[in-house]
Amino acid sequence: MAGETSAVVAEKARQTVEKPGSGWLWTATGALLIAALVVAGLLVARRRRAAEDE
Amino acid sequence: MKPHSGAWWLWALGLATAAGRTTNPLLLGLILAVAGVVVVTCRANTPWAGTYGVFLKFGLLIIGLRVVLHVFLGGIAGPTILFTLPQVPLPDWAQGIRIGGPVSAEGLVFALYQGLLLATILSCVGAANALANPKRLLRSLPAALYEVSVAVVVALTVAPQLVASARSVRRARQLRGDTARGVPAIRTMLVPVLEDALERSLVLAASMDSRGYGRTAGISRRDRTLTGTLVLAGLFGFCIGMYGLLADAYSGWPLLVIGGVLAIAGLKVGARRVPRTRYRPDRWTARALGVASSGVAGAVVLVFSADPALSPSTVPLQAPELPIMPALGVLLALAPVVLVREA
Repeated sequence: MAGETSAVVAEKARQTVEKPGSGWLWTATGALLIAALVVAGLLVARRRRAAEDE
Repeated sequence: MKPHSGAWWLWALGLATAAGRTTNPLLLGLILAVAGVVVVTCRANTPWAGTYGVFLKFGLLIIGLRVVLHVFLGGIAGPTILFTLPQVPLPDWAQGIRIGGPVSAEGLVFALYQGLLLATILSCVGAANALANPKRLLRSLPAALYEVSVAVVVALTVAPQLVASARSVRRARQLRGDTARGVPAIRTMLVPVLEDALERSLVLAASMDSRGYGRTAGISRRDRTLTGTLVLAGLFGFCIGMYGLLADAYSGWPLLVIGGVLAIAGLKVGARRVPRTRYRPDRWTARALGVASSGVAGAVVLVFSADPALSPSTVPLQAPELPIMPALGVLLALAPVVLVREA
């Protein structure tokens, strides 16, 4: 905004960067989701390999 | 019945387009995981089914190269200096280029994100190669593309054929009791694998030639020019439109639409003059449409999403967050697991 001082802009930027709590929650959710998919993929691959070997 | 090979390519290209819209490592990892789950669940027992794993290894190589290039040649700078390499002094005319110097955590993370983006796009192509049958895809090519189909098919089948060749050469080595691994193994496998892949490509090209692909006799010069111009102009417009769309979400649409219309017109005109019949043609069933649209849906969600978490900040360094709508869009691409399941 035109009327804002650089200190106000810097404070807003700091607050945007340092959002407490919610950021890490979504990072952890994403990591868990990926881990769950990888484990599911590995289990399916192992089951299929076992079925093909029989 | 397996879905149309084109459906797998559309699904994979949709995922690749989605990957092209973000540098968020969580979303890119999600795309890799989704593609991996679909590949292991839906792949048929074919020689090229292991292509995804090979492309994943290529992806790791790309990430490594991108990071090494950043360390030695620099790029994004940041306040958190990890270590400083000795800098090679360069002449004045080489200003802006540096070899060696300080390496920042911010720049390193940026290079990792960029490498991961390239690796993900490459792995999506690997997923299409693992899932789609290249020979059946050839049979579904529009008639107007027959003249270039030899080149298209050789280009599309080179990766699956390389993987199949590597697999058979490795098995032959194991049967002979050769247990070498690492660089010595690569050295002994490289020539037979390349020779076998080239031989397979030549056999395929010869068999296509003997079936009349690329035939130009009996077609007037005017017809050939018209079809060629329409198809080439259409594909050119399509490529530029797609580039515009990926670079900026909206400016590419007009060229994309014009290119698409021209390409379809060219394919229609070309199809009129090449009467061919197909034995048991692949059909676009509801399942194939579901597979294709699940990948395209992910791309559409990411193309139109303006979530700032799609490009996480590296200066200052921030932990990437998972954007909800784009993540749900990517998860839609898991639909083939339900739609197509190999026993």
